[in-house]
Amino acid sequence: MNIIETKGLSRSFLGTEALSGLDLSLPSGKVAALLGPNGAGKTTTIKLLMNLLTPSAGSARVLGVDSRRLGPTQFAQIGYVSENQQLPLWMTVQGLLDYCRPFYPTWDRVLERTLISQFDLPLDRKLRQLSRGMLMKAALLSSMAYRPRLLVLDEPFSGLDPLVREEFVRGVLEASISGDWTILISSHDIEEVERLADHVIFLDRGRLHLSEDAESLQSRFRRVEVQHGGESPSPPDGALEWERSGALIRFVETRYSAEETERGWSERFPGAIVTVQPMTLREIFLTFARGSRSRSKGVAA
Amino acid sequence: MNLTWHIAKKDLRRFWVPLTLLSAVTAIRFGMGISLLTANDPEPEWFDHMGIYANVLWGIGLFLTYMLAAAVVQEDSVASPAFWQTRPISGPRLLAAKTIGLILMFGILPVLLSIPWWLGCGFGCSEICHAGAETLAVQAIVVLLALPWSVVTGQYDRFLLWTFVAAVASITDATLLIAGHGMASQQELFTGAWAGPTKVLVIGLLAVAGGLFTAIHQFVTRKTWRSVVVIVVTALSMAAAGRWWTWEASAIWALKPVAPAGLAKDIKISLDYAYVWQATNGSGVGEVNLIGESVPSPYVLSPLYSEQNLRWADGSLSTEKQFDVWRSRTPSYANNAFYLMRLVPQPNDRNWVQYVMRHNLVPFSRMYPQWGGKFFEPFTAYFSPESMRRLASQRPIYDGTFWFHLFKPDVIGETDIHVGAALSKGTIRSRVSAISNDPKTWTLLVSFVDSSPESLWTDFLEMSQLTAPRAQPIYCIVNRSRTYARGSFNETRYHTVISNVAIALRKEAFQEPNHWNALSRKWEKERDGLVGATVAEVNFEEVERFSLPIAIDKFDFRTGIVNSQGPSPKGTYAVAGQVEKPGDFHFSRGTTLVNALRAAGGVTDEADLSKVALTRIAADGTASTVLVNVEAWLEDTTPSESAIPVLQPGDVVLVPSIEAGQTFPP
Repeated sequence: MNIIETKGLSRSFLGTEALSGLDLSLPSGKVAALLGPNGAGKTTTIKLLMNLLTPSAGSARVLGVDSRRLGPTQFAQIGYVSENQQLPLWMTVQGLLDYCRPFYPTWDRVLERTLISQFDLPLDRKLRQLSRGMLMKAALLSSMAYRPRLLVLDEPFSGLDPLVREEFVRGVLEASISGDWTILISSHDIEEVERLADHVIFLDRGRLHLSEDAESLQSRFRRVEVQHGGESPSPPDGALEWERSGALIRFVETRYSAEETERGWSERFPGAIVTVQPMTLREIFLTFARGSRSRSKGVAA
Repeated sequence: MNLTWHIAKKDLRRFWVPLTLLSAVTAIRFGMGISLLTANDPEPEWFDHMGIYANVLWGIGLFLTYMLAAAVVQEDSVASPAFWQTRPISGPRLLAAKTIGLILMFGILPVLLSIPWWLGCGFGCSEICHAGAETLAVQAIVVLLALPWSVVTGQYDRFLLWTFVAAVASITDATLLIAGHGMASQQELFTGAWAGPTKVLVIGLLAVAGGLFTAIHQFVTRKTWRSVVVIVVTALSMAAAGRWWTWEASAIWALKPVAPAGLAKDIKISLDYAYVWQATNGSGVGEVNLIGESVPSPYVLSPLYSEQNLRWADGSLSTEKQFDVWRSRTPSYANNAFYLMRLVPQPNDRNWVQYVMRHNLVPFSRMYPQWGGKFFEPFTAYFSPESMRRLASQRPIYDGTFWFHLFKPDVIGETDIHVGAALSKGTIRSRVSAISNDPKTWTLLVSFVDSSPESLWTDFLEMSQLTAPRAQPIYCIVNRSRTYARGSFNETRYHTVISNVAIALRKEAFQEPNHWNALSRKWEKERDGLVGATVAEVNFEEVERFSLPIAIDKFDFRTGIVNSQGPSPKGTYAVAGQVEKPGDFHFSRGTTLVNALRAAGGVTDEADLSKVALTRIAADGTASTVLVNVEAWLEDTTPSESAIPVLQPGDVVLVPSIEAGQTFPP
């Protein structure tokens, strides 16, 4: 079953499209990274999914329910942490947990205690007095202790120092391993979520460019270097960042499938030496990001 | 339910500090009251100051309530992506929790805090219930005011801004309403028959419905723009009701006729006259004067309701229904003396007339010209411009029914008027804390410590009585229009530990400022006219109500132009010659020659009062003069009222000098 499913989901603010025609489905159990540069529509997407905004067109289903009809039953199984979220800052950490606990039938006090010690949170401190990182951890704790089926984290890492980020990621990872959780993390920086994500969604200027499992993504992306003496061949379909300097051609192959692709190259670049390197998620993301930037420049020109 | 309470408890924890502050304000107020109750012979000035402070504290309490109620609502903001919105908390549940919290904080808490005070004041169970209900009502109004603004604004600063905008809009709205209204005064707009008491009710209900709907809608759907639309629609409909809701609609108050029974059977009520004046906006102002006689002592007769029908030649009917709701408990409302209760042992008693003139705090103009000792109950009727146009060519049949109620006065405290005098009976601790004296008025400042339970919902100002020092007491109500509150004025006295009420007494109502001494043939300077007068608090219990049909076959349609204040023609009259302050004076209907001399500050020592000249210019421009022997009238032990002429606008009064031997015309 798909935990999140959207059809033509769109939202515009005063005529400006923040999100247009998003078709997305996220199966259960995935840890999905919602990626995109600033202003790509990540937060809008998440707010639409959480019923904090209503779609201008299209629809979204979360946990099998239309996002506009999300109610207490669904929210009891959803954890949401956002940097923009208003928290009751006057409460202590303990107060926040005490306040949240009765709302969730599945609240796990053992997990709560584990997370408290793991996150090293001072229980008697007011949220107002906490640092940013501490605050995010407290919010995460209050959204994880009931083992939600869906955990949505909107830019949870921005402004966190590496040590805190590490703790944070570890917390999420451990939790997700121990349970059948679906996690959606938005970020403008792939590095933050590289270790977590097994599914990647790439948004840019309100449009979906990619939604794919990390594994298949990594299997079909290759950085290719061709040493080729002959005349300049045209770039093959699906090649990105085509670049030639002298006898050296560099590009990113987006449709790599071992023998078949390599056979194609040997036909296209007869006698050339072809070096093929697998790419990390980060490299793939950067390729996408650069691509979208140059496209936008092209549009501007 | 548990979860709802869980949320409400969270709010209580969140706001315990400001709530403590609010409670402290209330406690201080009651503390002041206790110190006053237990003080022995306190300085009147101290009494006075304490009253002002107590009222300031009351105002602060209400202000805090308003601000705090908004903060409680915004603690779980409804307009922005707040914490609760992604938690398993539904809008209706949150609303229920907020309602519980608001009731506890701003309803139950203040009532609980007040109970010791009420017990200390000697209130019984029913009084405490009444007082509690009143407290809750006032608190509810304040909280309801805060509700719509706090739900549509996510942040407190925006709430403050909206409050400011709403306040400015309301003031502008009210100003426009009043300005656009034929009867150009707020009093007429909200209390006159022109508006009908239902107007206030309708506007109030619209406000409550709009406010509650906004809150519920916002909590359930969180669609702020739609809530804003609701607010705008509410405001517009309130404005529309203020502008267009008319007396006709007051028919929902219509009463069934009740035949006089019991005491009322002996009361004679007859028609004196009925007329309609053309008002400036084309509509008409009518007055139907009824004479009431043989009201048994010590009962009080007061108008309650009237239905006045005009049957036109073509069979159609214009109906005017008017509910005197503001006068429902005690007689008298602002605009004139006729609404005052009459407690008339002998209606034709001339002493009574003079008593009223001395003690009633009503302009003399309103008392004209019935020197014969009869008392009148005018029922005002307002006619639409269409009716007035028809009246130009038709004479309809007038057919009215009038309802009265009979009150039994119960004096619960009275005292001589001197500084420090305390009302001896009743549970009110009140005393005259100051008497100020200026050329035209005495002002009594009466301070009250709390109110008596018997006077619930009644207004002290309408209950203040001045009684004459005589065996058979006669009462005259101090009319609200002739009183004003100094420092503070509070009608809901259960909230006011101390109220200070200033009663302005027109000196001319008590005694001539310049008293004519017939022996020395001189005007003497004023004496202390308050000596011998008594201030009393009187409670009225309705004992009966009844109605009477009155048919009038001949309406007097006058074509005068009425000013905005009522059916009194505009104009001035002039007083010249041997008076202290010669000049032009505003004319009001019923002004007599003697009134005119008083208005001019009295006459000088040189005045010859035997030949006061009154000149009147007729419509065709011809002037006629009569000489009036005012001196003879003053010296007459049984003067006839008709000897003193009533003025008309444009009249000129000339007081000649003795020394010059001047007469007019020469």
